[in-house]
Amino acid sequence: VNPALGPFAIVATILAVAGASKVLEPRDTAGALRAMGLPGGDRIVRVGGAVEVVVAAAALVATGVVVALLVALSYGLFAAFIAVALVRRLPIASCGCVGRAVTFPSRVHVGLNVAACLAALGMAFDPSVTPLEVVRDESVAAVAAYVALVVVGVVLSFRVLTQAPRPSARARTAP
Amino acid sequence: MAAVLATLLAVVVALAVVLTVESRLVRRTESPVRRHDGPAPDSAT
Repeated sequence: VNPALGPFAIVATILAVAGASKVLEPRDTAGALRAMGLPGGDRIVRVGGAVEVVVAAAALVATGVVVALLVALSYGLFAAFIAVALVRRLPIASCGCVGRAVTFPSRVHVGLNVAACLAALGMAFDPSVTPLEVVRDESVAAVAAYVALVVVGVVLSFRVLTQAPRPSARARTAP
Repeated sequence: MAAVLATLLAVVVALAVVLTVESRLVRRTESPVRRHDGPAPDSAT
């Protein structure tokens, strides 16, 4: 089994939740896109969020090279977006990566997206077993441990994203 | 399956470490009194 499968299950689940959040609450993401000078209507964000949900669902149930690469592309774009926002010091209150939840652009945020991109790229090398197929024929204890670790990984990832220091606080401490 | 669980556990531990470090950073950047004045007066007790 591909060792990237576990992390891939986490990043695919995060993509699904983030996409659904954008569909339900597109305002912050739209604002971040406009701050970047990109077209950022609510409708565009909702469509993008829906695409994320579809890609994530496909990643969980029918992983293939193309789907894994699409997940990697998504996270690569997120990382690039946040990196540009940081470099340009854009006044973005929340990048809108997870919809309504406030997620300040930060280096940790970029790092997490790059790690997720690498996990998806790793999965693209050998996508023969999907995150759902891996639990087939396994014991109840193994399945429970797998689900629990994926859920904890997703929750911790969101905590890391939403707990980043506020840009204003960083600015106050800057020399 | 054991390898998958081991990788997942490693990822979860890494995320927990990042979260812990980040929380300390947030506390440090958002409490300037503690940062400039050193330990609180009652910390010796």
